[in-house]
Amino acid sequence: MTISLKVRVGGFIALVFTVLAVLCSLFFASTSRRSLEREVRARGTALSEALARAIDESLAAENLNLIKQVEDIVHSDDAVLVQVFSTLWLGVAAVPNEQLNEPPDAAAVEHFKRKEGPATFVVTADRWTDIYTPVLLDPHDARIRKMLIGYIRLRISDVEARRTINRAVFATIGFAAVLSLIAMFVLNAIIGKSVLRPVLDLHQAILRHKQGEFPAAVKLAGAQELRELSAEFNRMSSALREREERLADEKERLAVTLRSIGDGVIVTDVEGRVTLLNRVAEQYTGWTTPEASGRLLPEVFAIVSETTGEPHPNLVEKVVRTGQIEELANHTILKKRGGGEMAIEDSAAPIRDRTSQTIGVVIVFRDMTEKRRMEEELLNAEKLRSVGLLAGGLAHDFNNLLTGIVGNVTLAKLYLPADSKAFERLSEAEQATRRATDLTHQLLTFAKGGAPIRKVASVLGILEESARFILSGTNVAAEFNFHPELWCVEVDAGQMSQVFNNLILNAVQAMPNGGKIWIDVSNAVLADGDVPTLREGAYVRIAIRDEGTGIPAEHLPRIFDPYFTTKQKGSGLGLASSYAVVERHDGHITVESPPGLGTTFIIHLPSSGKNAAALSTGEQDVAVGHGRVLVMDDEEIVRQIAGEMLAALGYEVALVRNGQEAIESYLRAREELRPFDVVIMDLTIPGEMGGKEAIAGLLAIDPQVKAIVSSGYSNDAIMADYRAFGFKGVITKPYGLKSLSQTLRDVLHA
Amino acid sequence: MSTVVRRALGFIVLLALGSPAVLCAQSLTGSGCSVSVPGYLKDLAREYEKRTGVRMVVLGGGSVRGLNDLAEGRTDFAASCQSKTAEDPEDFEYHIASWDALVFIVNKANPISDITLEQVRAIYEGHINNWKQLGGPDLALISVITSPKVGGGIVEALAKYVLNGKRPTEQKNSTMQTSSPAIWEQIVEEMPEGFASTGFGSARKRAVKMLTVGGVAPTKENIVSGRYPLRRPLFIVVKKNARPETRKFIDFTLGPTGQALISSFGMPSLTDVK
Repeated sequence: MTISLKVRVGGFIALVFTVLAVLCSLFFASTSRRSLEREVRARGTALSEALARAIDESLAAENLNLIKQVEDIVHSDDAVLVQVFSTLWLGVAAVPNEQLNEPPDAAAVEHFKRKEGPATFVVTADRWTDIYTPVLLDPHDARIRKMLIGYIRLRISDVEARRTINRAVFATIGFAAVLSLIAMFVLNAIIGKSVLRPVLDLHQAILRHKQGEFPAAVKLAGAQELRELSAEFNRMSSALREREERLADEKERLAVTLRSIGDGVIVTDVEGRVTLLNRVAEQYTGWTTPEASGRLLPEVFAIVSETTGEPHPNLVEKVVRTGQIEELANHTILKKRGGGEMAIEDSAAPIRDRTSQTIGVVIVFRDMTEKRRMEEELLNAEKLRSVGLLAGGLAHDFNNLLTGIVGNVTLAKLYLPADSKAFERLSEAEQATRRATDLTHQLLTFAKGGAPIRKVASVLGILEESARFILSGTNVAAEFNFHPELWCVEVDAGQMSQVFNNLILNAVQAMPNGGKIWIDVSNAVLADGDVPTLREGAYVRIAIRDEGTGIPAEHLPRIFDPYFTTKQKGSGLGLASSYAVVERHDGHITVESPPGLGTTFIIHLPSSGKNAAALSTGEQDVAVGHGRVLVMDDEEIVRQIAGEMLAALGYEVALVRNGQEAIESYLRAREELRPFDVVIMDLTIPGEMGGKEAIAGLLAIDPQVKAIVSSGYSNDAIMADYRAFGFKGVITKPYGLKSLSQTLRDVLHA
Repeated sequence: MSTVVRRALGFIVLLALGSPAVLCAQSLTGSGCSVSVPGYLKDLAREYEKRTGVRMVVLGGGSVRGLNDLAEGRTDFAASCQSKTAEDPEDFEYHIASWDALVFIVNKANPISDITLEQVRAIYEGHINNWKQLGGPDLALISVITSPKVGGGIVEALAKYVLNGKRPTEQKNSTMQTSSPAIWEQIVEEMPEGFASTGFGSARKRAVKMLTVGGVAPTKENIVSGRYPLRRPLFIVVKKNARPETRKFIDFTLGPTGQALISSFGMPSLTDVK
């Protein structure tokens, strides 16, 4: 048992004072006893001598008076026995009388026999003192000396004396005790103030520190050393507090870090009992830390093999046994509390203390569902890219083929009267070929998402084309509503038609039982901030609204994300590519889907502010021209049809297979002083110099060269920004008479 | 506690018993003649006490004192060796309890062993004051006497047998002491010069020399036979209205057992003398 300092000090002082008091008392008792003994002896001697003088005659005569006189003595105080002996030591009288014959002490008899030494003889017994006094008879006659006639034994009890002493001792002890108490209080007060209080304060402060509190600084009081100690303690306390706070901060930071880790973290002890889950782990397992605490890991972190469904062996056991970091095999499924599964990847590592002792295990795991999906999507994208490449290659050839078809058809029509049956058939074939061209474009755009080859166009035409294309054969009808003086826009008609196709297709699919699509096209002048990301300026606004089921609010923010789809067989690319196309055109696309009111896609496209109506009319005609045209293409069919068409349009044509030939021809023609007015070059020619390279050579010969770049697909930056490379125009394959004549006229008359 | 109380009570009882002033049924007190008390009375009382259980306290002091004690009621009986006098209270009853004789004593160191009544008279009349006068050493003779006014049994006997009816008066050779032969005897015991008259009963118990008178030694036989001439009675005195207990003791003393005991103590009993 521990005794408190207060009690110890108090006890020690009390003990010291008690011992002092007892010693004083004993000393006092001893001295008192001695002095009392002396006193008793002196008094007894005086008394017995007085008696001896008084009784001499009575004793000599042995008269009755003797008893009376003796009685008087006995009655005095503490004389408990008076015996009067004859000279022969026979009892003559005694009070009390029954002790008459009590024999005298041999020592006394012996003493008086020797007839020397002091007149009285004292025998001290345990409880009394016997004083023997000789009785001398004084005959009162000078001639007769006093003679011994007997002895007196006067017994004085010590009891009274002892009692007196005891009383005195007790009084002394009492006095000493009171003094001790006072001294104790005084000392305690002094020591308490100068020593105990500061020490106890310190002790209290230390105890509170132990309990994790940081009490206010200890008051500096008491003795100098204690003041210094207290000051030192205060300094230590504040240092400790700072450190504690730093530690707490650190701990807090660690806890926050742990909580914030994007992976699930579970900590267990070596027995596999869960001690901590971070937020992600809580979310993934469905357990909270308080619920999971103390439970065995497999209960909280139930993992099975994805392939076999077998539970995984206890991770903790293995880690504790091996002391190694344990990576869990792929295809692990975490069974969430309350249902649900999740593909995870995890690892378990031992937690070691400073002595490298394993004190627990930390399991880190992550949700692999997303990654798995990402992987799948990546795979998908890879596939798409392959398809794209394939499609690109196909489209190139396909476009060349289509160029041949379109060219021949348009040429054939030239040679036929417009009302002949063949003319009608060829028009239909031309129409179908155009669709095939669109399809090829879509395929290209879908696969590659190339830069738009912007041309001034009216969106209305593209929209009408798309609507006709998509809605044919469906029970959905489109209703157009447009501004009569619609501004024109600079767009890649192929890409834009793809956007409209997607939107109209979505609308159709949103109305499986049929319905109406409203297509509103209008001019819009926007100020900064009217529509996000758009600068102030002139725009054409296109709104495509269906009356379908609408898009759930939670899906709205994600519908433009790649691969986001709610459709059973959707690629998730439609809206994403639409978004990309619009953005590439410096426009903006948004969606509104108020519940029950269908879905509306709104597109803003920047406009030149020019009237689109004039444009569209000009475009309709096949313009006949004259001049020398050099056509470079590696495809025989393209060269032939281009030659035919240009000839039909009134141009003189020269055909070459590659860039080298084109440069040579151009140079020769200049030397022969009949230079080419226009050069149409295929952008790329496999294995040989294409238009891309040839333009540099042509520009070197003639900085004023009027070159038109031609390509089947527009994945090259040159197609989108042909002017920067020195071309004056661009024409995409396949091209018909109209577009060819138009392009030529534009270039020649620019 | 009870022990203390018992002791205290016992102490009170003892005080009561020891005090002659308190006369209780179980105790008898007597005092008086310094010859009778040591001569026979103390021994007899002890015997009586032994036989009856009655506590007996007997002390000396001289006949005068004994009679005084009795008269004052301090005692139940008195021992006396002087005859009834006119001054005695009416109710005193005198009984002769034993016989004794007047004897003359000297210090044991004194070579003198015989004396005549004339010589005794001469001493008391102050004519002899040195032992040389009696054929002894040249040593002052100091005769122990008491005041003639006080008297006592021995004074009475001296007056009767030696001094022709007169009592010894103070002389140059005398020393006046209290009227107790016990003191006189002790002075003589102690003092080589000493001379005193006393009774046979007590003198024989002292370390003194009893002088023959005219060649006749004071022995029991001589006293009983009358060859020793100075025979005298020893009285025991009670009040007429004495308590039955006292009476019993007197009866015992005077009766055959008492007398036989007295004789056995070496005293000439009543029966011896008859």
